This record gives sequence, C-alpha cells and structure tokens, in this order.
Amino acid sequence: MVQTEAAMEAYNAYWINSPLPAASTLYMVLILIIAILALWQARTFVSKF
Amino acid sequence: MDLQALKTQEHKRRVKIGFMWAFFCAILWGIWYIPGTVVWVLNPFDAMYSEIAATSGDGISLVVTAVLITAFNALTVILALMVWNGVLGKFGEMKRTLKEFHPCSKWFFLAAIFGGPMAILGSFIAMGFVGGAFAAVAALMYPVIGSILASKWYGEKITRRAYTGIAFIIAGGFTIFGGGVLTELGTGNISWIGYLGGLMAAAGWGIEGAIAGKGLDISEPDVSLTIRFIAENIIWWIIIIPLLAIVGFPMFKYAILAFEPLTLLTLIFAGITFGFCYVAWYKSFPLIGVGRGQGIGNLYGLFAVIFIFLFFGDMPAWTILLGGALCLVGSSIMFSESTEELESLRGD
Amino acid sequence: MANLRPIKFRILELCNEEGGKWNYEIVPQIQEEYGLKGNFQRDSINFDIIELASGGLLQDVEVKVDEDGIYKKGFLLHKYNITEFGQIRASDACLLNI
Repeated sequence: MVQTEAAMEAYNAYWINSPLPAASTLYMVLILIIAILALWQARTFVSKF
Repeated sequence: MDLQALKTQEHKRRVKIGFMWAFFCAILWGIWYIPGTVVWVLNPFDAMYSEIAATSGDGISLVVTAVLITAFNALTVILALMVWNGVLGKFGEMKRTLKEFHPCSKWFFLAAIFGGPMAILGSFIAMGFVGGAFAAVAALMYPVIGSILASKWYGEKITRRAYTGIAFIIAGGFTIFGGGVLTELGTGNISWIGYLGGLMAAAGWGIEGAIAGKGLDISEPDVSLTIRFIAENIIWWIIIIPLLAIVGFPMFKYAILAFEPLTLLTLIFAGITFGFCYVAWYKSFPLIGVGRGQGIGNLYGLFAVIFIFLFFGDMPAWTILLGGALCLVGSSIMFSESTEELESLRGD
Repeated sequence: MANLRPIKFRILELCNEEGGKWNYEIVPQIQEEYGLKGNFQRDSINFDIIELASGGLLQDVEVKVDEDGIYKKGFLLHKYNITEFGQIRASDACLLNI
C-alpha cells in the first residue's frame, strides 16, 4: 500500500509550522543523535567505578 | 585522596548517573510524541480508524486502532533493544535470565502486563473518551503510586525531600495540561470509562515500576527490560489482537497493510525512542530508586511540549511556561538532596 | 559451565562467604567462569555488584583505596557481605546453598 494523497497532506501539515528547516527529517536526525549518545554513555559510564 | 573523600565521591557519582539515566528517559519519552503523533494520520491507520469509527463510534475506534499501533510500537522497540543489547554484549546474560523464569522473568512479565495493556490501553481509553490533556495529566500521577508501593512493599526509602520534588513536578504537569483538562471536562457528558482509563494509566505505570524494582534486585536492567518487551509483544500479538479479530475488528487486514515505507520508518523511530527511554528508566531504578526515577521521568511532559513546539510549531501557552518552571523546581529539589541519604536505597 | 545462572545470582552466592569477599576477587572469577573478556565486561560486572549494594542486598564490610593497582589504581576496593534482605531475596530466587 502506498500513502494516499489525503494521508500525505495530513502528514505534511504537521511539519509546516515548524520554526526549523526540514523538520520531518530533522527529528529523525535528532533521535539518532540522542540514541547514539545514550548508547555511548551505556558503554562508558561503568568504567568510572 | 583519603578514603572518606573517595567514598563520598563514589556515591555522588552513582547518584549522578542514576539521574542521568532518568533524564535520558524523560528526553526520549518527550521526543517519542513526534513519531507517536504523526503515525496516526498515515496509512493504513487513518483508513482503519475511519472504517471502525463508521460502525463502532469514535471512542472504540481510537482504542482499537491504538492497540494495533502500540503492538507495532512494541515490535520496533524489540528491534531497537536488540541493537542496544548487541552493543553492550548482553545476549548471553539475556539467555541466562530468561531461563530463570520463576525468580526473574516472572517479574518482567508482570511488569509488562501492568505497563503494557493496563497503562498504555488505559491512557488511550482516557484519550478517546475524555481527551488528550486529561490522559496526560492522569498519567503524570504514576510516581505517586509507584513510590508508595515501593516503600510499602520493599521498604524503599523515600525522603520528604524526594516527595516534595515529585509533588512539584506533578503540579507542573497539571499546570501544563490543566487548561485543556478544564475545557475537556467542561463539554459535559463524559462517560465513566474515560476516567477509568485515566486511573488505569496511573496505576499501571506506577505498579510496573514497583514490580520492576523488585525484579531488578537480582537481574541486569538492560536484559530485564528486553524480557519485559518480549512479554508485551506476546500479550499484544498472541492474545489481544487475535481476540479483537475474533470479535470482528479488521486487525489482520490492516496489520499487513502497515508494511509501507513511510509508516515503517515512523514506527521505527517511535521504537528507538520508546525502547531507549524505557531502558534508561530501568537503569535508573537501582541507582536512585523507583520514586526518584519516576519523578524525574515525569519531566517528559515538559520535553514533549518543547519538541512539539520545535517540530510542529505549536506555540506553548503561558501556563506551560509556568508548569515548566514548577517541573524544574521539583527536579532541582531532588538533585540537590544530600547523597549521604542515598547510600542505600532501602530502609534498615 | 553448562548451567550458568544470571550474574547477579552468582555474585550473591560468592558474597555469602564468611567475612565477605573483595570485589577484585569476585570480578575476575566471574569473568573466568562466564567467559567475559575485556574492560567493559569487567566494569559491567563490578557495576552489578554496586547495584546489588545500592539495593541493600550487599553491604560493605571493608573499604580501602587501591594504592598498588591490584584492581584499578586509585579506585576504591570494597569487601562485600550479603545482607539479611539479600539472603531472603536469594532464597526467593532458589539459590539453594544460601
């Protein structure tokens, strides 16, 4: 199934008012950054004990 | 450096890391609202919602659609957790813990029942039959239930200071969503099932935390949380979805249709945030206790508002700024607590 | 080797000894038994011990600074003993020899 036109319109309407450019991609980038940060912390924090 | 100074430093560090994990949880939970919101307008979920709403009404349609979305969310959470455990090399320990069903895994299956169907479903019922703001406020009450249970049940020490901090954060949450609640309640003729949903959300997450705290005594957090989500997947996919299908809802038809690139991508990002948020939550419990972990986790309300402003451009009202300030006061009350109090989290 | 139980179970067993056990003894023994290599795994096992102590299942009986680097130089060395609460939780978990 592909997205219908109506669904895409509703989807795009969410991002249109964002003060950030390319908000629909940017949120994924931000999630990846935070996730990698969390993984890196999980790998390293135990060495402080 | 002398012994005493090193000991204090070690405690401080442990507590600081506990708070760090609780913070990661709050941030990731807040950003989860972005994919968690937009997925509703995407195919096939929008079509599913209209189809069921046409025959069974909006409230029921929202809950049934939510079940399918939540089940997919639980599935992508497992994918994210496999990456997490792979990076941390925990697969061996996972097998060992799974085998110990009676002493360990049992607790996480129980936690999954309370945190999954009870809390998540309750939250969606509250949303469907009362409104989104009411659902959010009701969920914010969970640390009260979690911390009371943890202290009654296995003597977790919760200082007056921690209680004060939790109270401030809840008050902040109320202020953030309060205006919306008044409007929603003002419309009248709300069915009791909506309030029941709110109660289910608060009790479900609170009980989950307390149960998890007990299971975490004797198992590793990363592994425990993964088992909890395996259990949640079983509950949704093997029990609830087939049941709903038997009752006559088009569950499988739409489940198959969900394999669409944009829908899957959105679900995967929802899975990363939800999974990592939850694992951070579980990691914080053994270090700062269930009460504090949940209290700080409640800052998600504030982060959700910030991220929704950044990505959707919804301008927050002044009440939200006031509520956010209350949240910050509450969390700094907890941070500044002397770590001596936290040497052992359990009472003597 | 075939029937390894979760690491925290094993730590509780080891700390059930008269007079307690040092973390620098527990960690290498578990690394050896479970075949866990590397500094990250070493520190993870040590952190499991810290979580057990924080949860009140283990208690410090002796602490000293690692001056000579027998475990990690400049860090604290802890000697742990199982608490009464830890014994109750362990017997819940069917650790029979406790």
